[in-house]
Amino acid sequence: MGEYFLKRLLAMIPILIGVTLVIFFLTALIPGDVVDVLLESQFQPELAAHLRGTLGLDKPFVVRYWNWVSGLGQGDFGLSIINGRPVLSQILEMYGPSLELAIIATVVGVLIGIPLGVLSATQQFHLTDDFLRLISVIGFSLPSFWIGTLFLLMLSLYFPGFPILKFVPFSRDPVLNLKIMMIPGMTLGIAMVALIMRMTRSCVLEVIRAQFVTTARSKGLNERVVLFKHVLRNALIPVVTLVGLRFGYLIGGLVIVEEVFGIPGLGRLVIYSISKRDYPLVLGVVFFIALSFLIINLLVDILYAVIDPRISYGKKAE
Amino acid sequence: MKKTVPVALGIAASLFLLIGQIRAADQPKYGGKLVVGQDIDAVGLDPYKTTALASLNYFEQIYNSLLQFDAQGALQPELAASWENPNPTTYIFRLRKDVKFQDGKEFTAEDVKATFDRALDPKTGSARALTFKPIDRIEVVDKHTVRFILKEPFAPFLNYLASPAHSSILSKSVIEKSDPNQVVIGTGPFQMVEFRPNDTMLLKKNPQYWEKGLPYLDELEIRLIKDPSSRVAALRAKSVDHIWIMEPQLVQILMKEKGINSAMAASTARKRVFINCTKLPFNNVKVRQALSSATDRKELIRVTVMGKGELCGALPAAVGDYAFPAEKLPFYDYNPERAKKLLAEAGYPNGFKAQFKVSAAHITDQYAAQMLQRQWKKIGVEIDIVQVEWGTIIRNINEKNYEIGSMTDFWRPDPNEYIVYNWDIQARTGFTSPDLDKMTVEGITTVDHKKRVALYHEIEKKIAEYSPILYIYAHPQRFEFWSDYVKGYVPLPQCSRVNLKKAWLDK
Repeated sequence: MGEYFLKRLLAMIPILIGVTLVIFFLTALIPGDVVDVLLESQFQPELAAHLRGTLGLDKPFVVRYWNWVSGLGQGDFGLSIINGRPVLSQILEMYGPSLELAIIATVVGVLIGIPLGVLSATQQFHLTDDFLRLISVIGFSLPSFWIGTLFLLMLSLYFPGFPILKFVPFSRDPVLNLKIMMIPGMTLGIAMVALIMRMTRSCVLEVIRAQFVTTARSKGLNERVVLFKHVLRNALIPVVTLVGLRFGYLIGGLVIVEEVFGIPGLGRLVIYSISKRDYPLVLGVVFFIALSFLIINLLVDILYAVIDPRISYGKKAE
Repeated sequence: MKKTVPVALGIAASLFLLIGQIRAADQPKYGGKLVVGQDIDAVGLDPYKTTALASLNYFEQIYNSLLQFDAQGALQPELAASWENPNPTTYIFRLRKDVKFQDGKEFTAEDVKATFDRALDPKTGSARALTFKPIDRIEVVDKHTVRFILKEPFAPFLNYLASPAHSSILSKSVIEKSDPNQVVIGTGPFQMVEFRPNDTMLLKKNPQYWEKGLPYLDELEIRLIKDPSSRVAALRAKSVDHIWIMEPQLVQILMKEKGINSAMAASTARKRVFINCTKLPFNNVKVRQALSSATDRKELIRVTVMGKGELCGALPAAVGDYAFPAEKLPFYDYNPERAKKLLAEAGYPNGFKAQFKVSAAHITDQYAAQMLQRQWKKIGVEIDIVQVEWGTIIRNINEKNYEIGSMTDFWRPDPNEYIVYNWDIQARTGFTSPDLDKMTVEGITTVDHKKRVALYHEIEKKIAEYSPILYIYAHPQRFEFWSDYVKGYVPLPQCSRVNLKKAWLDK
């Protein structure tokens, strides 16, 4: 297991190098640059050229790439061109709220989605199943900005004291922070519940008809044991994969919910840095999101082995 | 006579009592925290390295300038207690002696000199180097007197000195020892406690502020809430106390709400439609005149900004007497027949197709483009609207990579900056005209007010005639709303919240 883990970590290096190339290239392709944005209404061609020179934007692509990557190799993400602050500290600041939202949404999704999925599968063709399927279709059809705005409206009308459109970091006031994050977390959680429920249902249905389940039943095992020990364990692998992918997506893709609830997270940072063409910041954030994806993938692979004992890394197949 | 004196005294006494009572009710309260819901984030905090309006909304609370504009747009002293202009190229400013920077250092003439020397230094890379190009040198006469020597008469000078966006006074020690983008220390009513880009800026009262008794607030927070509906919800939920919005539809809704005060800024932002004069068919002046004639500006005002705008030429009426009455400008009357005739004369009797680039940076840009599409269709001009992101449209227009394009605008302190011929017209539309070139330079050097006004009227007529840019209408940049427990706040026409220093909370 340890050896496998090390191998996977090493394999991440070439992937990350590939990532840096792709994001640097794509960022350079965006039309317009940071100087255009800085000079906005006061466009002066000579001054623009001067600023591009001092920022090193007139250097060839390869040189700029090397400067950035060599800094990155030493853990130096550089300074934001727009606000002059270190890129890394800004990312870490914004990473917290995004991670928190992703965790809340996932926990809500797993805790509600999996049991409902199992219930739905075991009650197939019954009224409960129809009802749950309907609910799940509605759940992932509703766009999060709509649910979010609805939550905001209801809270501001019926619970005037409830903290909305505020933000306090977890480190400063954990209770207030959780109170604030609960609603956006739920907003994201609704779609997550629907998704996980559907996935769990179809996976359970697939496994429940497998021969080993019939065997387990014919051994005279209690239906509950059959369901939780035999069916669910085997059905969970695709669900875990799905949750892992969604989690990674949530960290980097929360733009809409963050904007609706006014939460300073990574999604907002991505949009802001791209719209301002703040290159070091764009590159830093996108790199960080890619890194998160890789780490989550690794964790998911490790989880497989925990759920399914047949999957064991490192040991040779016998 | 004998009787009238006591009566008069009695009236005076009762008036005095009455005023006393009003005073007591309106006695400002100290303390508390006011939260502003801000719509766009700062593009850096160095006043000399960004020309973005968004940054001004943040740093205007921290810095002062030598002069200031009052609510009527007249010049008033700020850090300079008085000034004189012994000859057209010399200005002497006597500075206030009771001003300290937020780090405790005394404000002196050295700081003024260091600020402008830095702005003018090409190494700084400031857009203001060109703004203040006519300055030859700055001399420190004594600790509290500073003299500006100009190369030539510079009519907009005092107006620029009163605009925090152009001439916030920095501290010499910050300029020498650190970067004003990171160390933000001024002489203003509030000092920065924390700035988290993309999230919030927390400011606290400057206890040594020189305007005695101000500010009333202990803390001021500028919190970024980009989504306009969320900003409105936040004001209703009292999560924030002051917001401004651009969307005319939301304005209609909020105006009716109880417990919320509102103010409409002056119509200082022009809706500009750039026409690329280097491309066919737009290099023909008759085509541009046809487009101007086919534009029903009044309908646009009615529909796109719901009537909250004014007709304007290259200068909005808000600049005062410099603005020529827009309805009298050539090709401003809506006349599709003339437009068709002009098109036929230019060789396009059946019209043509063109692309219109527009960004989503200002919501009304898109409405205006759609209206123009409809109006111009009547003379056979088919417009294909292409939505482009903000950074891209700036670059596209700066590089003349467009046919027709629209960009947002905002308040400027002087007519000279509204009509920057060489950047806005020449560099962006490719239109050149030797007489406009000469006249816009004269607009800077002509100090005599009457002559300058006449000159700008001429310039406006010329621009309307050549139509390299169509000025459709002027609209308020934003609409301000604040809860009614915020007292003492005086909104300014130029989209500035500096008067939060006079605001206090009654709750």
